[in-house]
Amino acid sequence: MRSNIATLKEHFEQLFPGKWLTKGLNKKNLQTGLEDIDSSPSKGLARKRITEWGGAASSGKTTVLRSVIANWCASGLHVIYIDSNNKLIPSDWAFIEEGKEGGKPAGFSSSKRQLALVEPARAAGRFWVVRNLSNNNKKHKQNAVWAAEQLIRSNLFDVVVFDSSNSTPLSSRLYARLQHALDASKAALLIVKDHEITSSTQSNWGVYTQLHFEWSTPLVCEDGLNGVTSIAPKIHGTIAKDGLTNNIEVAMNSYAANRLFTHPQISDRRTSKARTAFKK
Amino acid sequence: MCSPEASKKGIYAGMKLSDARATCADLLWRECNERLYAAAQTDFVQTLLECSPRVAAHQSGVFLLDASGRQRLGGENKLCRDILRIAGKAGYVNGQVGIADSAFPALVATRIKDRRWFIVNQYSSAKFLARLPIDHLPLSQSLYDLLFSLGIKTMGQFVQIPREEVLKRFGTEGLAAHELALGFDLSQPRIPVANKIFESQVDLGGPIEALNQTMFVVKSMLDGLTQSLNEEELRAEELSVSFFNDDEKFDERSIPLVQPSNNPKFLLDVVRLSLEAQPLTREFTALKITITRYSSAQWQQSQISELPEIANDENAYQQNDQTGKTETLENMNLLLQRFILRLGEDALVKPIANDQYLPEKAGRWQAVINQQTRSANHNYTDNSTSESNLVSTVINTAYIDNLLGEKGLVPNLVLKKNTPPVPVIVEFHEGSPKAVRYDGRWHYIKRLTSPECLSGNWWDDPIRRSYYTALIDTKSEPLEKLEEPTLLSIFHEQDSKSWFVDGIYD
Repeated sequence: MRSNIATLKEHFEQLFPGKWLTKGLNKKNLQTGLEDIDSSPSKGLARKRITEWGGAASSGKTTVLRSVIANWCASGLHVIYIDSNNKLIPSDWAFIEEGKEGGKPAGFSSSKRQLALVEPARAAGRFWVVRNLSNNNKKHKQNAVWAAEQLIRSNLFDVVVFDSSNSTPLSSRLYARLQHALDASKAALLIVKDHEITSSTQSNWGVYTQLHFEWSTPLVCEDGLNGVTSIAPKIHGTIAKDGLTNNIEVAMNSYAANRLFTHPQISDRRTSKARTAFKK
Repeated sequence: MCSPEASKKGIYAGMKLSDARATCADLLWRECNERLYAAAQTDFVQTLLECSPRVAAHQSGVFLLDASGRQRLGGENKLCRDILRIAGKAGYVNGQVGIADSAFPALVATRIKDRRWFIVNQYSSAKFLARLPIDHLPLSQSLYDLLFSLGIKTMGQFVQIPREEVLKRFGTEGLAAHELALGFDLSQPRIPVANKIFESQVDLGGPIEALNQTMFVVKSMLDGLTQSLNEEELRAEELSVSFFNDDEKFDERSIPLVQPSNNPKFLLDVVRLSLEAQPLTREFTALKITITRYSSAQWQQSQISELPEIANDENAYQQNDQTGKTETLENMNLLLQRFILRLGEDALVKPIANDQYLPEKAGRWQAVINQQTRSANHNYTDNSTSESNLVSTVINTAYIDNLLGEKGLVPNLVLKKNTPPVPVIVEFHEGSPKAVRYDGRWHYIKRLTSPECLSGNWWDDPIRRSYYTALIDTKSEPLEKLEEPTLLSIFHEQDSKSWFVDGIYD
């Protein structure tokens, strides 16, 4: 009965914003910092719900997600990422807790600056990663689902990101199991999945919000002395909830990466004799 | 620390490993393992009891023995030979022995070069120390520099200064060093305390299939063990649970704890979690629980560096007060324990930047729980700290941030890496790559960046690669019409002349 009333209130809120939801209920939606998502019918991403974050294997979805995660950490939320296929590299995520996310979407409204004005002493949220899921006899997908369920039930994280890309999709039964865990938790679950371009992107049962991303033109190419130094395509997306769809346009700021380190490359100072002896 | 042989080649403690390897190609390196050293110290103390009834570990690798009353036991020279023989049998072939009236002159006597043992005559400690440099004294760098600048280079010169003057000019540190230079040292060996064993065994009388039927028995066993631990002011760090079937032990599992505890409820949950992760394969008739590792109870906060902060939400499920924080800490401990038991310690990690230019070495995953921060089970007085440094980023982020901003620290796009890199075939046209065969089909290379050439790591696994970012598509349509665009990271291996796909930008 209560959940029906809450759903009805949310519907009325979409029709007549600002009148139906109390302040506390508003906090149940996580603001991403992307205008197109935060002002869409879903008003951000809902806690205690499953959000599907999909796109082709190379579509920019994880780059956008990284910016959003950095925003959440800057807001003081705790995020954990289940990297079920060990695809992430640590150098891409090392400064997330400090709110540094590399290529930032243009027009991204970072919570960090706003939060610093209001709560300067607020600690940044935690960002952990779960990986190496094939450590015992159980398959890594089984371990990944177990890990997601444990993390949701622990109530220690605000967002659990389950990256199931490059593996077989989760069944509706697993979705139901995860939703059951979410019902008794405060966390939001994001399932990152790869869609093939030509196949259907129909979501599973229990998905509350669905986002889909893909590269689009025009490309932003940064030129250097000897040619192109970086390529940053535009990212186009759609967000769907309860049959309502909104478009998302994410343009990445132009960016030429420089590998700069505080120590120079270590040159090989050995003599040719020593080098030969070492090879032997 | 580094060996004398390494020091001769220009290696010194505190050096970066990459610099050390560049200086000495055949350098051998081992990770510091405080627990291993502590266990070795404890074992060696037990071994040295053969020579003297009172033995204590003074510092890492230094032991104090009571050498009094040796007249009827062959004399002090025989004692030295016996100690060296025992040390040699235990594998420590470079040991040295010093005998004196007190600990400090005996310690200095072990440093005499080219002598396996040195005996300082009775009542002659001050005379022995007088001609030796003040380097032997435990002085801070500032005090040492001060004494040196005043022309005090030997302990004999130092002891000529009156005691009151030493206290006035050099403080309590100087006074303590002054006492040592006179040969007065209150350190004494003591009779070692035997290792305590905390064990509980129950014979159930009949075969039991599942532990659920006997949880109350396990609970009472753990209650008894934790009570014994509490009486000794100790906490369990590791449990060992053994299952028997008619006197045959068929299952023994070691359960390390996330953090030391003597809470029976927590220990019961840990045992239950272990059995959920690894169910028993047979019925059992007896059960034994042993506390294999324990430490002194320390009344301080958790060693997990980040305690979760509860959101200050009016609809929060836990109140943001002391009770809530205790519950949250318990939840965190249980969660970490579950992950360690089922997936291992490397499952929960944090990304840490590394000061390396090769992409695969520019960061590393650091386990959230580090084994090394857990205290070892030792029963001697250890002056050295056993904490190891968890953070090893060595990145001067402020410098890079000031110079370049975020782009100097974090790449633009997220790379999903292939492990290992996937070999591909690249087709060239007029000297530049035009197509690549990847994922079972040919793709046109629509855009390709100029290469980033990286080389190095010659002391380990040499790398010479040119990295490119390529925008590929299945169709040869103009750039404005992308069919199935994919942004790849590919590299050309110079040594093998092969191309690989390092990963996909997503």
